[in-house]
Amino acid sequence: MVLADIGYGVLLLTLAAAAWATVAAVFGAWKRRPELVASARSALLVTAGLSTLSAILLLILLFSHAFEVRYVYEHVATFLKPAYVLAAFWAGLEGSQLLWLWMLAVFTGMLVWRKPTWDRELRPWAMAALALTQAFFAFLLIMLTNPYELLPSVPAEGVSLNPLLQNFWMIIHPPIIFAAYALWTIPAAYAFAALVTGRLDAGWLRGTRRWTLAAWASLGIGILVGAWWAYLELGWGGYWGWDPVENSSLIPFLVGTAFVHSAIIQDRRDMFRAWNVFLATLTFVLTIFATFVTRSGLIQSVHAFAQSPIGYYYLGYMLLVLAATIGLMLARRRDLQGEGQLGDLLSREFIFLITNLLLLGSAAAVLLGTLWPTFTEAVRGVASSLGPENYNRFMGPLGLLLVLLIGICPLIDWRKISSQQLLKSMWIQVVVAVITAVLLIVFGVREMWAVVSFAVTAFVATTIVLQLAQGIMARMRAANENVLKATAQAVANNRRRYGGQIIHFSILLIVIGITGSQAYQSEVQVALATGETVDVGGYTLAYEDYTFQQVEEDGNKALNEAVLDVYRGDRKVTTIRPQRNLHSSVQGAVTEVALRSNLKEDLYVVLASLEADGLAAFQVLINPMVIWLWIGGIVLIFGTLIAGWPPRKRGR
Amino acid sequence: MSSTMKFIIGGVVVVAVIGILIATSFSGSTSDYLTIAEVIALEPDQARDSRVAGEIVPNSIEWSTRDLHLTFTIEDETGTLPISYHGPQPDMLVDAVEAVVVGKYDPAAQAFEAEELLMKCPSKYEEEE
Repeated sequence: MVLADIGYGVLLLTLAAAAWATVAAVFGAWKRRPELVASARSALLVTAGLSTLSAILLLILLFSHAFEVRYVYEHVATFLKPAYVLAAFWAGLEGSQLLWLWMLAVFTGMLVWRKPTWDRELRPWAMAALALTQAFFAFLLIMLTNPYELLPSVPAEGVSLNPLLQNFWMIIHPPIIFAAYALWTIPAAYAFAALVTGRLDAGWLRGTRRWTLAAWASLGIGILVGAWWAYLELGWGGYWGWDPVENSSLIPFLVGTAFVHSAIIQDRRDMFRAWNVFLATLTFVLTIFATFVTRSGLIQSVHAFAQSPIGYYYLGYMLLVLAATIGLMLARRRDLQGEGQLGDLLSREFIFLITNLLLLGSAAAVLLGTLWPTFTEAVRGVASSLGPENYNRFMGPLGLLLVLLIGICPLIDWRKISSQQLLKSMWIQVVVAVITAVLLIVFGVREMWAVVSFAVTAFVATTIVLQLAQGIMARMRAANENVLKATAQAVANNRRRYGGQIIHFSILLIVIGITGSQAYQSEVQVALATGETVDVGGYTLAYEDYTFQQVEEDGNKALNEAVLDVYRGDRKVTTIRPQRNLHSSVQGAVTEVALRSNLKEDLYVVLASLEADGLAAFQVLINPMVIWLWIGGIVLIFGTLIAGWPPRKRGR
Repeated sequence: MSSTMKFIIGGVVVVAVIGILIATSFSGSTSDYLTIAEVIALEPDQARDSRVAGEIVPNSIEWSTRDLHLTFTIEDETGTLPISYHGPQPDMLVDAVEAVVVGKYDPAAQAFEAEELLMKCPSKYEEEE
């Protein structure tokens, strides 16, 4: 087929352009030849265009059901809904690799489109790193994961998309995650450029700050969207199972969070230079670690990943990047000495250091847990696997400490604060936290860790509110403004600070969601005939009707559905329809959960089986406060937009 | 004491606390991957869960909608193992699929009481989470 051949040809051209951009950028920067750097820039704009063309070609092939292309055959079918044809683009290894390259090339194109300003010296080296990474991806696509590979004959029908991936959130989850991975390449490329040029002051951090923020927020949102998909589609009632696939996106998020915070220290106090260069690189390396882990067969996962040598290419690239970074850091060790002086132990600097250690410690622990079966098999011959309770045991305390520090850090000055001053500035928070804890215990909360978690959340929320109130009142007094105007002005004049506070507040909402759903999940498993009812956690579910093996999608889907009316007392609140369907593309049934959410709790119903006479088995779960996770995600986006919004032009 | 020294000591203490927390989290309640012969030979007082992987023996799956009770048999090179599980059937549970079961072997019933069932996706799909 012509289009597939063109697609492959475009990939070859992309590789050629990216390779040229790498060479031209390096020599242009090294030999101070601006015309070579300009040529590298043009080549990078070309790779952005070419990879966009590749993506469009794959989309055309998918939508036109060109089953002679293996990737199309394996991921779509004529009966597949168009929205899921889009999801099929990134449902497999080949398509997701192309998505990654495309994202990286487009972001690189956006970066080089503008003429260099602060980064005149760093830009060529950053371009070289970005171009090399693009060349690496293009090479893998050509050699190992060609999405345009043809089958020897043309099948009449495709296999279709895995029904588990046929979900709205699976349409948007992979693009967000790969956008995040691609965005993390940019701070890492500038860290490399800073090392090569020796310009290791905070310039590279300030200049890439908005890219870093976008990368950080995209990764966080991508993880939340993945959790939401798992919650809706996998039907076990949870949103996070500490599976290696989940862990491998959480690890770069934790390290990236450490980087975002230690970057602030270098910006303000010129400390942690080496640390920041290393963390930026490490976050990037960890984004490609995920692919290595899942494809190398190194770890045992329930996800039956097709093993592919691609994992070892990733390992090679990771080692290359780390070795180059460490080598350059050793060569630049003098320039990595910052000007800043350490303060007292009771100082904001030290709190930031603890924050960093906690984040990196938890990242290391999650990494170790993910590789635990591999380690234990190597050491004692028997592979041992961690359960969620193992992860919760360290992640719970470390997470709560981190959250507590969000509430303490703004109260502590740079350099030094006396313990009396600190106590004086946080007594209100302590009182609020204690009252929260007492109230929870009085109202019958018995899980101590949940009480602690909510008390810590109350402490931190109080700090955030007090800080905001102080800022607004200071403005109201100084500028004689009303509350609304003062709030808008205070936020507008200090977007970084208030954006950061809003993001911290979103983390509190997520903590509330996690705590509530972990502490109070309740479950009932029941078999019902039509007309029967069951009472669960204040709800009455009346099993009204069912549909047994109704044929859909041209005979490729058999729908099994139960219809339940949900009552609160005598009042009918809603009707829900859990499903358990058969698909021609997979063996066995696939669950579609029925959900009713409100701010207090989710009613989560799984149809466990349905017989021809209507006898049905249900698993009914009450998951408290899960919705706060998703609300937290929305607030996180809002906070990031405020923190990253370009300042008004005022010649800073 | 210089502030650098203070920072180093403070940092070391924090790292030590994190390390101890992680080390204690990793001990206990982990589950070993065992073969069927190994899990049957295990001492009955073994308190920890085990993980056993095996292929589902064709025509062995039995499910009772009334009690939400599932039984099936898995086999590996070392033997066969009857599995008993209370709860909803997992997705894609079919003959000849590779299953991982987590739970304990009950010598009296000569069956494995599973708390968790994981099906390895049978098709060529790769999960892209």
